[in-house]
Amino acid sequence: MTNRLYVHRTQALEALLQELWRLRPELKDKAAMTVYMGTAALLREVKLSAAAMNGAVVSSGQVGKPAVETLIGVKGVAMPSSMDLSCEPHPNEQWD
Amino acid sequence: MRLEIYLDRGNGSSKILPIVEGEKRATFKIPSVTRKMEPFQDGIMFLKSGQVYLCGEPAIKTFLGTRYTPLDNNDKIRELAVVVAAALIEIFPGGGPVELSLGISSPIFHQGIEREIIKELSKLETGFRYEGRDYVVLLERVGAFQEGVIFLDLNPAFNGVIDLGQGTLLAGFRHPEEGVKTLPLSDGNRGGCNLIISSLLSDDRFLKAVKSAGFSAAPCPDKLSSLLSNGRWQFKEIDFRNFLKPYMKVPKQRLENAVQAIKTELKNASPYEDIVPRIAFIGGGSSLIRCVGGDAAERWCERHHLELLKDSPDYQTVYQMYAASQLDPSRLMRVSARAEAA
Repeated sequence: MTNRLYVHRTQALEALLQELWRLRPELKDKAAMTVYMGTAALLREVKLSAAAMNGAVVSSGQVGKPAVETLIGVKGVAMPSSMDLSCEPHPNEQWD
Repeated sequence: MRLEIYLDRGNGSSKILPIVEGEKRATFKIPSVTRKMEPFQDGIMFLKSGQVYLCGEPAIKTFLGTRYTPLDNNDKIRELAVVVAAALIEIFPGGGPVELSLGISSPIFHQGIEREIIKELSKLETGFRYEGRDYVVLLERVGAFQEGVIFLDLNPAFNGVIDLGQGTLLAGFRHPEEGVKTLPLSDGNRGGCNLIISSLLSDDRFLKAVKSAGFSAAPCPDKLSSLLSNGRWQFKEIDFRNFLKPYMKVPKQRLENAVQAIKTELKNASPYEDIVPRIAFIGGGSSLIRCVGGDAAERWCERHHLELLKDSPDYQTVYQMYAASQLDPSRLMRVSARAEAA
């Protein structure tokens, strides 16, 4: 199934598109690619903002709860890193 | 940044030649081993899928995740995107947008292999994140090249080539009418230096020396392969060369068989001419044989019409891919054009 997304080319969007196409003329006839890259960039930014705000913003309903779900995972539960899971150095370390 | 990478994904290590904004940079190697981790663990995170991987030394130094090397099933395309991501991290440690063109070698070379490579590399679309730094990748051009045998394309003085790698032994020859051809070898697959490495790691004499030198364990095969590939022969009183010597018989026997197969093909191609074989001996295995065997190995090669290349024999495939692309830029095809053709 194909989901179609209709975008109104406002003056502001048009200006951005013209600038993008001036820098990357090969994208000019690829509206789908432009939207895809734009959405991906926005998603990355949202995820980074969420990471930066993690712990700084807590809604009133969530105060006191041990774990809070955020866009990047579960806050309040320590995320084990690879270092946490293997306390002892790997035997290969001595061969560096 | 505009980047071209020529990548020879070996079973042991991947050899990489980067061209940044048209400028040739120094070659480097990354161990080819990868590990698929849990989503919350550290590593290279593909933003498209959320999957996390380790590649190279970090993958060697952990017990976590699902390990993979091309030696497992002779598939050098699987998890290629992870190796490319690790190469991008090495080239651009600060992250950023990359317009990427890629030349990839493959031991199994066939029509349409670029499509398989592009499918694997689609994991890089929308980018990846490593240690808080973001990489945005736009794949522009991809080309596939015959691993090892490509050497003959641009070196007319040779009529044969043997590429001894970590896991495979590849051979090719120059047919007077039909040009460069790959030669199937009956003991090619898994016929590389992995045989020597597994033998060494189960050698009592070597294990005893490891213990006497104060190590708690021998290096794992991935680590040992990486050390040998980078020319690290000596650790404390252990010199790998002394322990490797007794195991050189097996690769030598396989090389002799490969030389014989090339000679037969050359003879069959020109039955009424006396063709003198001139076989280039390339790949990491050729360095290993020279370093372990010394002058005796050089004389042995001479007797078998094998010419050891003095200049970076293990990087020959990436150099040749680069040279071939310089001569004919269409060897790297536009990804969008391929997708439209498909």
